[in-house]
Amino acid sequence: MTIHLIYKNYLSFQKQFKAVMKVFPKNVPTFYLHLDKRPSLKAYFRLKKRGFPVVYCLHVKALSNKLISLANRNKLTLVLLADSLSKKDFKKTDKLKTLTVIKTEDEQALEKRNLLVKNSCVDQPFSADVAELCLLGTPIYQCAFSSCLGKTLYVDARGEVSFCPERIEETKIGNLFEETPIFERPTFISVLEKQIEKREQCKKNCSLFSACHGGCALTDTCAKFREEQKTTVQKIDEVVKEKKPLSGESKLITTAILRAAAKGNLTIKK
Amino acid sequence: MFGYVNLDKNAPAHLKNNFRKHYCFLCRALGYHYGQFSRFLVSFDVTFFLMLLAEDGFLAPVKKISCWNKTEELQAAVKTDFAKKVAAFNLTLVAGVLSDHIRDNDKAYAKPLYGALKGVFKRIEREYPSMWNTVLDGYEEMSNTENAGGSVCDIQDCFARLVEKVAGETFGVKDEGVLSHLIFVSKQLYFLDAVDDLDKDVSSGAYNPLKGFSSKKSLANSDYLALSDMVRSAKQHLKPLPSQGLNYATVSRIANLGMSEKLFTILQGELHQ
Repeated sequence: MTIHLIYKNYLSFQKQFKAVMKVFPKNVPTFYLHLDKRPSLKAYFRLKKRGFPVVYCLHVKALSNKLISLANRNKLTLVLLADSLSKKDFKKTDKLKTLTVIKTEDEQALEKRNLLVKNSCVDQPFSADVAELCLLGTPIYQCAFSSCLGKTLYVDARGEVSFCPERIEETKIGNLFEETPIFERPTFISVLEKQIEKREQCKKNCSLFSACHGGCALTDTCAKFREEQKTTVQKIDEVVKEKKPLSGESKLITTAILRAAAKGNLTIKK
Repeated sequence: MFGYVNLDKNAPAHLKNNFRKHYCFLCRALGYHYGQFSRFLVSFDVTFFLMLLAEDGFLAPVKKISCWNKTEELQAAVKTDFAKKVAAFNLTLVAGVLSDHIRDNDKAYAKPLYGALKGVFKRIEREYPSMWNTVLDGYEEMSNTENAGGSVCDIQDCFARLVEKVAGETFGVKDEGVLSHLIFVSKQLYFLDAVDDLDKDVSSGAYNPLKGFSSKKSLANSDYLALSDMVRSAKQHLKPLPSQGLNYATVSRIANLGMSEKLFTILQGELHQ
């Protein structure tokens, strides 16, 4: 289980953390800390000291040199909000050694990012499930194509718990500070049941199950995923078979081919 | 800091620390036995060799190694014959590489550096004559195979034979699993070096066994299916290691994931040059 704590300040973090530890006393979850104010690393170091796996995601609207050196020194994950980033900021991302995720809802901003950001960024269409994306770092990863429901919890500063920050109303389980344990609440059970049912169906009927693990139960993107998967596999086969120059291909295709070749897994599928 | 061997990015911290510990230890051993200058020649690749050959508990008493740490346990480990032998192997490989460059006359620094280290090299030749001869003869054989236009597999085999012979004769390694890992990584090392230098060699006209493999002067047009087959066939010869200690876990992770990741990074770098 991974837990995303979206906190305002150290005080709110302490409260959230205490409540979470009541719910998960034994299983040590991976914590993703999200903070959108000035970078205070108190919470991060406290969890690290206690031996918890922790990823610190700093949501930023602008990049300063100070922030870049702080992120590089402490290996922080920066979540850049692309829509509010300036051109100058995009150029500065080259200096980042740490994992960076760019979040955007604007297609044009995405194109701009592709042109300007060379290294350090995860080359993805950006969904709300940003931290999960950091964890996997694999290509073609949108929350519609993932099966994170039930594996991840988001806890905001007021203690509201939900499965997905994009669909808070649909997946809200309740408040962490309420007395009923979250695992016994009807919303939690119904969302999980829905997800399990979908996953089982996909497992039986779909050959692509190993790629998307059933997808998200809240969205229906099977057809789109199949199409995307098919075209990508075809493209890779074509490039490999005909020994086409990789320099003209997209980063996604190039990375997939090189990674598979380096591992010795490259084969022609059809 | 030389060499290609390293753990992958996602390796657990205890394996990374173990690798670093051995690396720092090798650096210390070089300094203690062959003078402070030789510490500049410490290699990641020989660290892999060290981890594979050292017993699991060899560095266990040493909790942390840094440049300022001078605990008794560390001093005792550094003074052992095994440490001296590994340090000598590190420097003998350097001698092999330098003499290769001198033969090819392709690196300006090779001659002066060899001259600066001549005293150390002579000492190693005196102390470990069989290892010295095996390595230098091995490099000469590689050079001859290169001149005869040998394929990348032939030259890889030469290098792997060299390492295997040293492991068997000087360090007394007999276990098949250990030897198979040594051979695999040695082959990969030569291959990585060839990939890394491809663009440079093509533009300078120097020999590179991958020139035929990659058309149009760049890796962008290469036969990636052939490359993948090469890696797969090398991996098939890997045999299980004798136990599941920390050193073997690190070594196995390097062989299975670290080397692939390094190759991926180099390929990507070459492509975007």
